[in-house]
Amino acid sequence: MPRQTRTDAPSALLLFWQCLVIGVTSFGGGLTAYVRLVFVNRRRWVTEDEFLECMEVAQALPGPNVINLVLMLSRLLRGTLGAILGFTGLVFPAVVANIALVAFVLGRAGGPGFNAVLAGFGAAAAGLSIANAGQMGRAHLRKPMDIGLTVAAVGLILWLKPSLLVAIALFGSLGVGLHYLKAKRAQETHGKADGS
Amino acid sequence: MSDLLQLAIFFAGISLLAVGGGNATLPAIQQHAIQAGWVDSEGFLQIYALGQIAPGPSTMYVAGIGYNVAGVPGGLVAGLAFVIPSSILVVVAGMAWARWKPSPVKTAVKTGLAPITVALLTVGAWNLVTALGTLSDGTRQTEAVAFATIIGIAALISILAQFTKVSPALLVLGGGIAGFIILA
Repeated sequence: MPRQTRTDAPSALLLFWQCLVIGVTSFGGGLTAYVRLVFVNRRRWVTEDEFLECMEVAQALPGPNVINLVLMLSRLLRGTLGAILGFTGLVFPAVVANIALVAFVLGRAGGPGFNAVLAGFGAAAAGLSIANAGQMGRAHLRKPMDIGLTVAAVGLILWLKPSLLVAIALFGSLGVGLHYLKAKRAQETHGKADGS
Repeated sequence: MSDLLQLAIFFAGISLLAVGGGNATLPAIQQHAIQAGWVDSEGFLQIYALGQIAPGPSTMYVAGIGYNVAGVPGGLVAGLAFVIPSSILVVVAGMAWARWKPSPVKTAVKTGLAPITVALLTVGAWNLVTALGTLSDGTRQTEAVAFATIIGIAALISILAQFTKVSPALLVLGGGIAGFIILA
């Protein structure tokens, strides 16, 4: 059952420390579930509803979802300073670790065996990305219009290789425009039904 | 233009285009990084793959790209430029979004970006899978076997990730082990 009670907001230092722990001990994606476990279940700093509200914003705005999520949660708890601390705790270990891996591992290791392991890591990452797309697709691409738009976008991007900006401007505005018309129509139908 | 400035400008721009999460930007970053001479195709794949075993958000592999261009300052600039603009937007616009009452426009923005997001994730995964074959050059397997292996690992992991609760970290580790056993 979702917990709807919450404890007092943490101190800024504790918030930073907790985000640092998440930043250091999370591997391979799936961070959103980990953040939820800590903020909602273990620490009870936010309620399930607050978490979902933050998640919605995190997914709607650009940027890595988990960073956006931690920013929203930290801001909710400790304002802008909290957002800065949560961000730093989450992002800093990743930046340091990625630099260190390239500096110390890539510089020294090499050869077919090493590349075979990396190909496996890369294939796994592609698999996780497909899983992410699959989950998002099942949740949001129910209508033929959406599926058609997705297929058209995949085909056009693979064929013409437009820049990211062009692809987003074209298919983003098409998607948002069509969904706006649909939502508007649904609202009007709903309004008429209410009025009758 | 200095390398640091070029890294900052590119990654700050792409930060605001990362709709639906960081991984949707993979093809754009891959293409630009190779064209700009920041890293060759093999190096890009190696850095991206290594980033999968680093802690924290997996898209922070961009710090590794920056390091390859301009050392530690390059890594810091690329990593931070990639996330600071979107983060500022979240802090500034996040509360406004949360307070925005349900309306057709809000619903449309929320749901209308799903097709392009799913498309970008799919294209990114496809580009990655097709490019990864080049990493197997020099291994004992032929290109066709390497390609089939990579597709097989990706497909299996996408199924396990969607329909089981195996941790993503274990899946990545398993992918690496499978790659070594079959390809090395």
